[in-house]
Amino acid sequence: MNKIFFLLLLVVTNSFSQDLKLDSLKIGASAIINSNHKSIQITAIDKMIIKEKRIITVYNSDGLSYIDAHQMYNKSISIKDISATIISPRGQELKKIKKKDFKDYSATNSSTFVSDDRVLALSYTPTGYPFIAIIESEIEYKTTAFVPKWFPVLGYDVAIAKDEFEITNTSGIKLNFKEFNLDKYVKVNKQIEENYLKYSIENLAVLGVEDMMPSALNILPHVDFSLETFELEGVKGEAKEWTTFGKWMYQDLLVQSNDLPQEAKDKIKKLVEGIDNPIEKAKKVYEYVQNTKRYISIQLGIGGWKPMKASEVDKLGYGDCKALTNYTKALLEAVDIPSYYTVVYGSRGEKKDIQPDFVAMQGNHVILTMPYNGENYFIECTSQTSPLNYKSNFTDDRFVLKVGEDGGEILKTGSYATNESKQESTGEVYLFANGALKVNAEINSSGGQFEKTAMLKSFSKEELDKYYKEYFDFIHNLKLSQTDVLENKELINLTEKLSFETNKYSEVYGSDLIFCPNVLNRQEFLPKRNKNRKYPFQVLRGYLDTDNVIINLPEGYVLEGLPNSIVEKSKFGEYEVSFKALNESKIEYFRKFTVFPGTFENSDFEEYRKFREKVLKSDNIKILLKKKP
Amino acid sequence: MRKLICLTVFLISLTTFSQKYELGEVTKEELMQKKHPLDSTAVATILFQTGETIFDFNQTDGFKIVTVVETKIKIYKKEGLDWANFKIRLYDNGSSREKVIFSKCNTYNLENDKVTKTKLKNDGIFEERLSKYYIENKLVFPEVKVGSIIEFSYKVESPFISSFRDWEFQKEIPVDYSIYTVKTPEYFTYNTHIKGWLKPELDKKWETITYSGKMSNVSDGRGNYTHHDYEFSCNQEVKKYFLKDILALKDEEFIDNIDNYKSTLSHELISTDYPNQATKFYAMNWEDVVKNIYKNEDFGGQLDKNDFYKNDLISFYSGSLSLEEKIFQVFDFVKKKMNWNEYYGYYSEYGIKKAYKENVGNVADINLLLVSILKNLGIDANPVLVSTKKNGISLFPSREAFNYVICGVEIDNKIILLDATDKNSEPNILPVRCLNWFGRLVRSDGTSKVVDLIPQNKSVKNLTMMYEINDDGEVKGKIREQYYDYYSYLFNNQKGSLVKDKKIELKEKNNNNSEIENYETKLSNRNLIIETYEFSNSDLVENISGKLYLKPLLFFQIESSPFKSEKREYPIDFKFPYQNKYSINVKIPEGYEVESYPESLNLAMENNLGIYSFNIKVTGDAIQIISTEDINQAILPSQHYKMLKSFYGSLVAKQNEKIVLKRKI
Repeated sequence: MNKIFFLLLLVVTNSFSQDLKLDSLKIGASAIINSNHKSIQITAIDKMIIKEKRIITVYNSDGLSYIDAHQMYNKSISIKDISATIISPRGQELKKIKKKDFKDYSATNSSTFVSDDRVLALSYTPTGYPFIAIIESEIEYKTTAFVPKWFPVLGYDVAIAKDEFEITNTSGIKLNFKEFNLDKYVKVNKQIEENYLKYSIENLAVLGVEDMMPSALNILPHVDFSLETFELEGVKGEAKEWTTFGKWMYQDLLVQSNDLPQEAKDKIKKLVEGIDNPIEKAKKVYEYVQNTKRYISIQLGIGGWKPMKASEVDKLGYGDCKALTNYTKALLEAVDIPSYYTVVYGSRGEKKDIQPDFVAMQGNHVILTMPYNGENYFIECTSQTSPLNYKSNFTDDRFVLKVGEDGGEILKTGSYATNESKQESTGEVYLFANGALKVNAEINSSGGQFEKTAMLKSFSKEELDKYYKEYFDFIHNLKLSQTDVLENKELINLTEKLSFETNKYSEVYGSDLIFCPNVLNRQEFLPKRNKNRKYPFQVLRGYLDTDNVIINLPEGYVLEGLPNSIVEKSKFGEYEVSFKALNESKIEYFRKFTVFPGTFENSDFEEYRKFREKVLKSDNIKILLKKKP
Repeated sequence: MRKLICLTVFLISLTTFSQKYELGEVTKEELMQKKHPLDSTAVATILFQTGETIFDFNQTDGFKIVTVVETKIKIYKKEGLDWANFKIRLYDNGSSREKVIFSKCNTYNLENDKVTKTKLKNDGIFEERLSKYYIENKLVFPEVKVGSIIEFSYKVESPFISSFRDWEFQKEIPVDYSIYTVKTPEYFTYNTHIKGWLKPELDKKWETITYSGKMSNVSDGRGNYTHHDYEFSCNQEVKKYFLKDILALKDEEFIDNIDNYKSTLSHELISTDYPNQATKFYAMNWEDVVKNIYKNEDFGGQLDKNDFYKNDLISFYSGSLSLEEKIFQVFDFVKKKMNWNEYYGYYSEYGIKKAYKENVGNVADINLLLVSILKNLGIDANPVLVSTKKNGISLFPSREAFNYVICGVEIDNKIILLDATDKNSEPNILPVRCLNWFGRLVRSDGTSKVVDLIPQNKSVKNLTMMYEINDDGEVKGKIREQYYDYYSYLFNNQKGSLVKDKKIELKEKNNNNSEIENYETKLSNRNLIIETYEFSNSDLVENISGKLYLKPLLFFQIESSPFKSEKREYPIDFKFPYQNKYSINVKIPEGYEVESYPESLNLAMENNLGIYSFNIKVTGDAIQIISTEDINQAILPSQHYKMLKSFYGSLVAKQNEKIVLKRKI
């Protein structure tokens, strides 16, 4: 489903005006969009013409990406014309690149193995900075399912002198639109008439980037558009309401692919024979798909929207997300478990929603929804390892579109609560008088934290060795003596058992021996100081770590005293650490660290930093031992 | 006895199942095998790969090279499933092209204790045009899961007799058995070379081959065309290369290019010797290779072009500059004027004249232009052919051995190497991509000379730091860092284009979140950058029960050794020899005295490969430390790994020892 995403990215953003306050816009800018004028004319259900003219001043190599002179094409997108003119700051024409001189690429890449799309892209080597690029294009679309968004701010290091976007719709079909963040950080002008819309911004300085920023979708202005009836590579569709949209999708894109052969049905029935509980049955089916079918990205057919037939997947043993989802659905159906093809935006860095109140082609990925006992199970069919209903951070906690015979329905996927995303570390530590250390430990990860360790199961010894040397990068010369990784898919947890040692952990100074009792889990993250924080900051997911470690002191040493316990509470999380002498040669170390998810005000940032600093320092507290006289 | 039986059974089963090297036969045992017998970490293995290259003939097209490869792959883990996708790249020069035909493409599985076979049909074969010259064919095998075996055969027909496909014995997964046969008719002579440390067995013999067919459209001279049969025989040399139980190639840190160590057989055409025709020579030795390249209009032909730049360079012709100044100034002129389009190659892409006009060119356009200008000024400059790190090492004379060209100036038995494609490059400070193996300087009279590209001179980083500690543990001080030669090059590459605020931000991050003030950088001369700043940080000193602990290098110590693995198969590539020298003066807080401090240390590797010294002196309330780390050779052979690992182990340990301060009583 990569392709869909690609499409949306491409169809972003265009004019020219000389009397600009360019100097003030230049501050911090890798590029300035002098003018960008884009006009979209929708004249019929199968005809949309997009004309663009973009004038950009590029100040350095970081600004090159804003030239953005590349265009995808295929059977239903034809490039009428595309050209680039490069001009020196003094206005002298340096180079003119015509359509025939654009490079022609296949749209395959590291994540798409096969695709029938191609891309025309500008290849130009700048001969100095700054320079001005003028890009003009005219593209004709037979597909009107994706009316380009208006998303004028393409980055945090670009300034915009002028951006204008207009749509003229003479097709007679209603054009719906939804506006986002129009008044947040950027002032937007708009003009809305019947059959004509125009948005523009002017003189926008560079916005600048900060750590832990919310997704651009949540702060930058953009407008989405959708035609109530549209065409997708020759197939007519309808987007009035989710019910009818869903029915269309089901009838025109999915039904034909639901053609599992009887033989395959019999096989799967046999496989679940004797199992009554639907969940157990579903697990068996899911496992079957995971073990026998593999994911491969093949973007062919109706713009990458129509799944490969279930019979094909059965025969060939592979498919992309659509194909594998459709196939799993067909298998479940064969054993009388209803489930639904479900469109979602898959992304880990942000929780991107299908806009519930805006009916349109959306999403870049597909999962399966299986309702059971009033609860929805969301199944990731491209994963070969995930437990059924694992709430992966690729698709968790967001609105998705469930598609069925009765139409479409918006649902919200589940997520793990902070205290369900646990990492519990326990261990016994032996310290030696020469500074050496031996550790037997167990790390148990569950819920949201299961995902980050799930890959360990398939690691070779060498890979585990490398992983632990990095995980415990504060312990030098680490030598692993034993590792064991146990996964429990039922409980969604993973236990790592490991033993390691090093010849150098404690520091010995004369009769003093100093060590850090926090052997298993130290926070290293400290956000950068920022006294003029501009944006809110975001912690997408919460988690809870606990550490329980018994420390056996080296022979011949006595404890001089223990550090005080620390408890730190804030709206960002809670931290607790305590040290307890069990007897004269044993200490118990306890640590509990909870991080709360949330979006916090910019004014809270300094407080947040202090909290994290406190955690970092407390994690590194050391204990002093004295040699027995 | 029980033990013994098990062992025998195991041995037998091992030997029985790797006997046949033909496609179409898959046993239950093979499918049941759970992991590779020699490498349990293997995600998949090539059970066997056989290849045969022959020369085919027909009257219309002449000779063409036909290669048939048969491969059988076993998948052990989910991570190995990608081995069931196969890609092959084919060349097309516009008038003729390579063609591929696939056959016997099957997936085998074990189902209900029975071996099943699924054919790959046309829906699993894809073709895609990558560029004007290349087409890619892809296979996606059906029904592949953990445990599956896939097999396929392909035949490539190529009209390009000068370029042979390489035969890779080694892959990123184990190869259990690899055999490759080449049958070369007596009309062709090829050079062969094998890289990597594995030595395949070779079996040679001569045999006779007969070519026959129909000749069409033969004119009788009176306007009549007829068909008739032809038949001729010749001798051909049959070479059979064989290797088995080949270990997977694994990448490591500090390596130049892992492919240099992959066992591979390559061929290069030396000559063709058709009956009744004069022998035609192609590349033979390095001299020939470079002569051939030089003769090309896009190489040597470019060097004589000089009319177009003379006007712009009048000052160089007339000025009273010294020779060296002249060279440097021309270099700077070309470097500044020209912009590299990021394409490699030793042949000029646009021609230097057009490139000059447009200020853009590939590597050859830019560096041949530089050679041309210098030559025109009467300076002894010549092109130096280079193979980049990525292109790897070809010990075998061939045109493909090179992919890059720089400029070399010979003065007083010394050579100055120049590469004007990189704005940060300096005389004898070449971009890291060029620091590979040797180059070949080519003179216009056709003679050539080997040029060592691996840097011999030490690049120095010289740092002085003075700081004082407050009694509440805050550290405040001044730092001056001097970056010479490659350090200065790398500094410019990484930070040259950054604005000051960004540089400060990076410095703060690298120096343990210190607050940085009065930050300045200056370019002192061509190869020296000086960075000065003040810093403060309250997280560097630990206060434990009233004593203060600190690492004297504060944040410049190497925290953990880069050499963690126990074994090393490949040389260690440091890119250039270097010295890192830190001179530190510490003022301790009033009321405190030094309780203990790390002892001085001197370490040396054998053959003077590396030296580390840590010297410390305490006088009153001041501590003076000089830490000097020297690596004297850019590339260390793998047999020194153990020594290197222990050297860095001790160095890191020393740099991480702490000074302890206590209150004066």
